[in-house]
Parts: sequence; structure tokens; C-alpha cells
Amino acid sequence: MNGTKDALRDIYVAFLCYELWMTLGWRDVLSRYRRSWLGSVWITLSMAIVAGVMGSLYSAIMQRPASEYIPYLTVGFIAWNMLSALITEGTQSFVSNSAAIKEIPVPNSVYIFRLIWRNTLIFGHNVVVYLLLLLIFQISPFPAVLLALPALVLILLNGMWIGLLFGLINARFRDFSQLVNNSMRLFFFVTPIIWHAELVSGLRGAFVYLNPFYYLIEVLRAPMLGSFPSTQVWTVALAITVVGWIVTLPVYTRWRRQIAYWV
Amino acid sequence: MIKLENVTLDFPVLPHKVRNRHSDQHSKQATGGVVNTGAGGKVSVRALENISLTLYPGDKLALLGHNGAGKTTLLRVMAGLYAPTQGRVHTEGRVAPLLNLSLGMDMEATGYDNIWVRGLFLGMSRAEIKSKIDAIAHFSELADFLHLPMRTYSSGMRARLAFAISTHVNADVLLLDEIVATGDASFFQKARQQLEVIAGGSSILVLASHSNKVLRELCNKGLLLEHGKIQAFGPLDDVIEAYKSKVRMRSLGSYRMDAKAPESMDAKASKSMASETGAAPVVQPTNRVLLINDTGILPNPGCRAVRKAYKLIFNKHVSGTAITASIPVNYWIEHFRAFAVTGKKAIQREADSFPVAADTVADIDIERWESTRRELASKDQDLHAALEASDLVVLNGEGSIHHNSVRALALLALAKTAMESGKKVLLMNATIQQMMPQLLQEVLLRLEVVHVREMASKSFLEQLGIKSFATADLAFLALDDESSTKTRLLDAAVHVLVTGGVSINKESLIQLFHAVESIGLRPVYLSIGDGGETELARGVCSERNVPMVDAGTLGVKEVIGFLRQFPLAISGRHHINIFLMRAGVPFLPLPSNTWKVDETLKAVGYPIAPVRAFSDLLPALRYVQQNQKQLAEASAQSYMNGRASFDLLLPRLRSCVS
Repeated sequence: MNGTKDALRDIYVAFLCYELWMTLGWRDVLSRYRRSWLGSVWITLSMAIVAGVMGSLYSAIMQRPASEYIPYLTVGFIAWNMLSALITEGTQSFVSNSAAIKEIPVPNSVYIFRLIWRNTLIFGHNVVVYLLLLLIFQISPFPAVLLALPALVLILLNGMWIGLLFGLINARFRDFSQLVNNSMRLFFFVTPIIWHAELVSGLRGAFVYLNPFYYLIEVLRAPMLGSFPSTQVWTVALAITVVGWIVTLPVYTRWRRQIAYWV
Repeated sequence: MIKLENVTLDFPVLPHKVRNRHSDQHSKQATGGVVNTGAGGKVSVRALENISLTLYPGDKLALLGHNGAGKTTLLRVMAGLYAPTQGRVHTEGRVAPLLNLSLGMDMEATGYDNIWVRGLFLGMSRAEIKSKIDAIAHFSELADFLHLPMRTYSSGMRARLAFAISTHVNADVLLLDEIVATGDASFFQKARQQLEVIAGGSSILVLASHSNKVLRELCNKGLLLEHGKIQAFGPLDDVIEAYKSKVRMRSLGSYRMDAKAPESMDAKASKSMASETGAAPVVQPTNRVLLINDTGILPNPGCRAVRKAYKLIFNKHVSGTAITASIPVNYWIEHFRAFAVTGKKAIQREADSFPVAADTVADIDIERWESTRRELASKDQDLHAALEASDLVVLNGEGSIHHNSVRALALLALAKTAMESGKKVLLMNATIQQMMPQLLQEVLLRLEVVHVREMASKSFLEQLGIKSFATADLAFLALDDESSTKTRLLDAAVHVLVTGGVSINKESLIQLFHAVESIGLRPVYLSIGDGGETELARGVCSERNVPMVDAGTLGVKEVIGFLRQFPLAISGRHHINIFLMRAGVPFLPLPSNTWKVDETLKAVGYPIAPVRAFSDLLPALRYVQQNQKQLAEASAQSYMNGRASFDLLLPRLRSCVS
């Protein structure tokens, strides 16, 4: 129990280093676009291109009105981008900071906060495209959109345990990141992002209802599009978060001190 | 404060990293830690083993050791980066490590940006960085370069910036790894000044470096690591000395020893000594001395004093000689353990008395000794290389040749092997007692000089027809200089210094502390640091709330100043007796595991003989207390007598080398 307390303390102390991880996270975003003229505007721009090009093409394939399909695809894509980045980058959370872990005595969870903050900033860039779409298609998402904020927090909380757990596993077993990267590609297609959940029925419904990504995306996507997510979606998303943390805490407690040796 | 308690650290080695491992055969000689293959084929490298040390504010510790000895790992443990496998680490205050110059440095970002990032990494707040950024910029001397990306910097410039940032953190503990020497000469100068400022403050500095000069300027304590174990810990000069003797030994091991010129460090030492005496500098001695059984690496200050005495004798008093190589204490001993007489049998314990030396001893199998010796002699290339590169072999006989002990057997075997090489062999500073006569005759009759440190050994040898030369212990030669001590007690006047011998037991210690308390004073225990004694004393002292001082942390010169603060002492240590005489402190002696204590006291005319029975302890202690003044004079006079006994030794040694 003392160990868990220490692990929670590690996370708390890391949170207190907010000046550090906020600086690091922000610099991560900048450094990706360093020496380019548009800089981080590229994040927004590439999302706008996806929304415009893919939205108009797939709305025809899916036989949906563009005014409904383009916002649906874009918001789903924004949510998926964040979630998949949290997972794939979370798997690398300790390995990619190995130099710092071996040289500087800050809690390892600082690197998780760095990751969370980086992706929050990227999300912020993408939200610009979302706001533009609301204007273009004259959508008013109120009042449901207020639920997007707790949903975002929920996703970030999931990002944290994933970063801690997957980062730890991958520090020890490097094949893990390969496994994760490959499965994420598959999950993109089997999760209702470019297609609608109600299009599948029968056994195929399992891809929706047994797919944790569906719940984590829907919990954010629905309010951003102006509708209330079902209680089932909320319940499952919350359950994933709680179970994730319950699994992660003892694992992190037990092995967090080994990270410096593994990376 | 940094406190490490029995820290052991095993690196797990992941399977893919060890595929190419061939065998363990060389793991002992390897420079790094010891490779262990545990249950289930798990491989780990033991990087640190059983490290215990405490650093207080103001301590500046130098880490010494060859590459892979564990210096960086130890720094990382101190920084809290590596959690120990066993043991505990406790640190207080802000720790600023400077282990890697490029850390947190983004090559694409400007120098200023990097000050922010690295500063934050080191635990500074944005406000703090803001207030210091000008000072850091100024110190780095990078001026306008700070606006350019780091990739345009030279490695020296990067080092300067990293160093500037790390040393501007108001850290309580600064950990530096082998980097002070980067950068150009002028910056190097400046960096040292900055470190000196830090070193002068109350923060703790730990520095790993190969430059003795840098370490000497900045540090006051030293720690020598080898294969992840502490080889020596204490005042810096003594540890550097110990390191040098290790380096010599290593250079023998790899045949890199120059067959003609003495090792530069010793040449320098002899030069500086020669210039002190005003004589022409000794450039090249004609006689290269190999010192066997070098005790300079031990925590016991007496052993270190003896090492110092050898250096004074051969590098200063006897011209044309210099110690060019040494073989450390305990060499070869493990091979004789199987049939030597164990230490316990050398000590006689009677009820209600302090343990004394046994007066009988079991014989050993002399043929087995000879065959073991032959086998070792035929295999030990390092020893032959060392003998080859010397003209004179000096065996330090200190505390070794008694009761057919394992050290005695190993030392005599080394002596015989050295003789077979055709070199002149001298045995010096020996106490010889209760040894098997044939064994002594086999070896000692053919030595160039047999020098013993008291008369009892001399008469023992005479009975066997072996001629010898007696003076007081060589330690008497090495105590001319005294320095003040940092280990001061506030009210030393009400304390009695107590130190037990190697054979001390719990009951004796309790008797000693009790006696001191009975005369209205308080005991302070001085631990000498040979395994059993320290552990035992630590337990009893903490039980009875007696302060304990570790002699291993005191320099030879410092011990005198340390002892001088006490009005009286009880000593079961032969060498501490000598230090007490040098300090002019009245003391009550206790018996030890050989007759060296009794005999030395007799020879130098100290008026009190060792106390044996517990019942005599309190009256004797009262006597010392009541006659404090006269005994202080007697103590100081005894030192002068002992010191004077060398007048004949030096001419004898000079004639031996010419």
C-alpha cells in the first residue's frame, strides 16, 4: 500500500512540475514544424484538407448528405487522432525519454504529462477546423457540447494510464510497440469513424459494441455534434478509465523503479 | 545530506544484449562489474556492492577508480536515477546532476531556449531562471551565439553552456561526472573557480574525475571504487595514494610497466621531496623498489602511516631508491586459507579478561605450503612481471607473521618466490610470533634484511638462529606532520577516547564503557574499520548511545589532531598507541593479538602495561586519570624514544642498496 502511495506521489510531484512539462510539450509541437513557414498551422491545415477531401468523397460513397457527414467524419477523426497518438506515443513514453530518465531526477510521470499536454495542444489546433465546420454548416451543438469537456478529460485520463502502462511494458519488451502500431491501423478501420455505427447489425455489431475505441470516441464526438451520448456510452467509457487505472497502478508501483534500467 | 546504506545495485541485462557472451573466465579481470548468471539464466551485472557512506553539508567527495568501476552508476544512485537492488538511499535537498552535457539540449533551439529547458529540468522555476538567465549567459561567455541554434556551437561551447546552467542552480548537492576537463583552457580555469565557490559553500559536491589535480583542488574526501566496491574512503590524499598503488598493480597486470623508468607519479613525489631537502632532484633511481603487502589502501590509519613511512624511507632517506610498484595487502591469501590456522585459534579468551594472543599454535603441513606456493609462483605472471621490473623487493611484515595465519603463509610464500627471482629481498616492520620454526628457517635465513619492530620477535628469531634487526614500528617515522581535524567534539574534555583491538568482544566493550562512566567521564569510540570490530562496535555503541568515529575518514595527519582533544584514552590498538604518544595523550593500553603492543610499550618506556583482567580495569583507569599530567609527558617522551630508534636502520638500508 505504501508503494502505491509512492507511485501516486510520483504522479503528483510530476504534476507539480507543470512548468517543465508544459514547456516540453509545447516545444514538441513547435519542433515538429520548425523551420517551416507555417509552423504549427500545418496541424490545422492538414485536418482541414482531410475534412474537405475525404468528407466530400466519402459522403458520396456512404450516400449521406455532406452537411451531416463532413462534421461527423472530421470530429470522429479528431478524436481518433488524439486517442491513437496517446496510445502509440504513450507506448514510447519512457523509451523516447531514455536520455533524460538516465540523467535527470524528475519523476518518470513527467514524461506522461508532457505527452498529454502535447496532444491537448494538437487537439486545440484541430478544434479550429471543427469551429469552421460549425460555421459553414450552421450547426449549433448547444447545450450538449458542454459535455465535450468532461469527455475530453476522460480521454486524457485514459491517455495517462495508457502512457504509464504501455510505456512501462514497452520499456521492457520492445516488440510491444510494433504490436500496438499494427493493431492501431486495424482499429481505425473497424471502429465507426468513417462509417456509422448503426450500419452494422447482427454479429458484426460486435465491432461496435465490444470495441472500447467506439465508446471513447463516441463520448466526445456526440456532444461535439450536438447530441447527448447514451448512458451506455458514458458508463462504458467511465468503466474503461477506472479498470485501466486499477490495472495500471499496481503494475506501475511494482516496476516503475526498473524503468531507468530498461530504457 | 546524502546517506547510502548497504547499497547494492544489479543491472538487469536483457537477453538480446548478452547473446555474444562467451564465458565468465575473464569476468574477474574485466574492468566493469561482476557478471552474474542467476537462476533461470537471468543475467545481471553487479555494478555496486554494499556501498555505505554518509555525506554531510560541506563534504566534497572525489570519486576515483578506473573506467567501469562504478563511478557513474554511483552518481546516478545518488541522484535518485537508479533505485538500488538492495539497501537504501536517503537524500535531503535539491540535487543537481551534471552527468551528461547534451542532456535536455535541443540542437535546433537557440542557446537561450536551452537555458530554459535545461533549467526547468534541473528543478528551477521559470521565475528563478528569469532572474538568473543573465548570469548564466555571462558565465557561458557565448554572447550573441546564444541567439543561434545550438547546432552551430562547438563541443566546447556546448559544454560551457551546460556547465553554466548546472552550476547556477542553487543546489544542495551537485553531482559532476568527468566533464570538468572539457572546454578550452581559459574556461576550464573559470569552471574550476566556479566549482571552488560551490566547494567553499555548505553544499555537497561529488565529482568523478581522472585528474588528481582537479580533485585535490576541489575535494576534501575521496572514495575509491573497484568492481563496484568501496576500496577506500576517507581523506582525499590517502585515497589518491591508495589509488596510485592500485594503478601500479594494474599496470603490472597488463605488462605495461616501463622496465626502466619509475612510474611518473613516484618520480614526481621523489622530486618534490628532494627539492624539499635541498638536494639535487632524483631523476632516476638505480634501485626500483617493489613493495609487497602494501597496506596503504586499508582504512586503519596506522597501516596508512606505515605506507607513508616506506615512501619516506625509500623515496627520501635512502638515496637512489624509489618505490615503483606495490602489491596490495592480502595478495595470494585465499590459496592458503584451506590449511592455515584460523584467526580464532590465535586468540585466547579467558573469563573476565580481555582476549590475548594464544601462546601455542597448531603446526601446518609445510609440504602442502610449498606445493601451493610453487603452483602459484609458476602461474602468477603479474608477480613475475613486477619482480622483473624491480631491483629490490621489500615485504611489509606488519601484523602478519604470527600463529601460522593465512597472511603469514601467503607473505612467506611471496618472500620465497621473490628470492627465487634473484632479487634482494628485505622483510621489514615484522612482528614474528608463534610460527612454525621450519617455515621461518626455510624463508628468513636467506633474506637480505629481517627487520622486526620489537625485541620479543628478535629473541624469538634468535632462538631459531635467524639474525634480525629491531627498531620501533615504522609508523613512528611517519607522524612528523600534524594537521587540525574537522572531527571535533564540543566538550572533548569530559570524554575518553576508547578503541578496541581486532580481537575485542562485546563483553569487553561493555566493560570499557562502564569503566569510563564510573570515573565520571563519557566514552567516544574510535572504530578502525577491520570488519568484525566495526560491526560489533556499531551495535554496542548504538545500544549504549556512545558516539562512534570512523578512523577510515581521518587522514594520517588528522588523526593526531583528533586524538589531541581528549584528556585520556583507552587503546587496544598498537598503532593508535603510537598516534596517542605523538599527540602526548595519556592512555591505558589493552592487550592485542600479538606481543607487539606490550613489547613496543616496554621498548619506548611507556610506564603502563596492558590491562588484562576486567577487575584491574577500573583501578588502572583511575590511576591514569589521577596521574594525567605525568603520563602525558611520559606519552610524549615515549614517542621521542621510538622515533630515535631508527638512527641505525637507515645506514643499514643504505649499505644494503649500495
